[in-house]
Amino acid sequence: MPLRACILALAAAGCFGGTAPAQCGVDGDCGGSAFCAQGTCIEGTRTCPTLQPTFSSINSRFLQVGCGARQLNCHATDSVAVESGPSFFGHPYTTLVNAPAANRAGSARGLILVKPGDPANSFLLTKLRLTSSTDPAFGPGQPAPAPGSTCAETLAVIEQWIQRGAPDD
Amino acid sequence: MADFTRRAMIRTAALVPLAAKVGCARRIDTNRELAVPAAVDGDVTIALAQAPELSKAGGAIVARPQGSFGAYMVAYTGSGYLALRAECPHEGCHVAWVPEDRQAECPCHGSRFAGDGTVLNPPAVVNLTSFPADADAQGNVVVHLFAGDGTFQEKVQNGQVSFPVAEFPVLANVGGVVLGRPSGFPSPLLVSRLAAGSGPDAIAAVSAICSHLGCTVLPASGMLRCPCHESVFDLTGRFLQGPAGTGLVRYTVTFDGTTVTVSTTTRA
Repeated sequence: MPLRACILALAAAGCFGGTAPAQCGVDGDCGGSAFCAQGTCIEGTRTCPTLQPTFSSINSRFLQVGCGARQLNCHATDSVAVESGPSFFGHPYTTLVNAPAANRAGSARGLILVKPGDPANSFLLTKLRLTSSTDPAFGPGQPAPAPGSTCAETLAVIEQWIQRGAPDD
Repeated sequence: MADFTRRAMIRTAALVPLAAKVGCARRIDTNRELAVPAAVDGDVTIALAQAPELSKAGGAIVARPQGSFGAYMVAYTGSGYLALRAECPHEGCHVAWVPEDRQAECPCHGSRFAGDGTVLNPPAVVNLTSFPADADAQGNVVVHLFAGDGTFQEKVQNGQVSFPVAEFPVLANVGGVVLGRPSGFPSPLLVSRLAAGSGPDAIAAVSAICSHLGCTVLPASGMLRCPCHESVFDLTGRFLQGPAGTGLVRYTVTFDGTTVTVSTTTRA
């Protein structure tokens, strides 16, 4: 009987497209201490999400969380910054780690987006710490609508992850 | 366990298609379509008296502003409003809000979207455009169609938006394209550098809304391509191939060599 029930449940679940119910539709569904992105409640704010020093946490709670009115990932294949920066769509580990930065809007060359063990020379952190939208060496700070708006705690976690070798964990 | 005989297995297995049939027969209720007044300065106002669905948690409608080709699914989750472009980017059916799942679903082929438009389940492969929505002082629901996305610092003033090309170094090179939506502009913009020098022939500004089913057109190898159904346009918005059949909306643009000015006025 339990087996039969399982089969019935699985069959029924398959009919619904395999999509689990979302936690939220809008920020207000998450209470006051979290926000809603891609159907999931994330503790903190968009510029200061609560992170763990792992790539999966940084990716899902920070990189994939967007900006502007659409509140979607700017650096994705269908987003506004597609021509001006790397695509962070999906699981962008290889896009970031040991990957050269184009830095089209700045003069500095030979930059690496994430250099394992070396946060000081990881361009990702440089861009997030810039407060100018027209830095001559490094181009516009990020996120583009509000350069330098990422909070210190979030930057510290990203730095911690890079410092310990930027693993794909 | 010994009792779980071949006969029992066959009987259980026979239930699978039945369950699938029952489950798959679940019908997604479409949301009521409501004609609403035309947008004013990009804001679509929906009177709650005309849309009582938006007074209860989980309620939703599809609003169609007068004079607009598009429609918008507007839902109330119980703690806030959300608005998505109603046309599914797969085949253009109107999505419907599924309150128990806090997702929008296309009743035609089952594509699913989060409240912010993120595609969660195929066959659609691109996101739905979302728009900020809230209540005004009278309690009416207002959908803000022209909210900027932050790409452009400047807002539309007196029907035009200006920005220095220095803000977008990619535009210094022929073939460079910037995609974004200035606050107050009626559509997302694709601004392209067509030629060296200055003047209106050096820069083009076209709507990034595909003339086929409204997906966002993206730059690709010196052209503009719709990721939904592969319509292709040149950088001036001229239709080249695909199901769209017509070109993109083009806006009047001027360029003095340092500053680009795009008008909300369309041109032929």
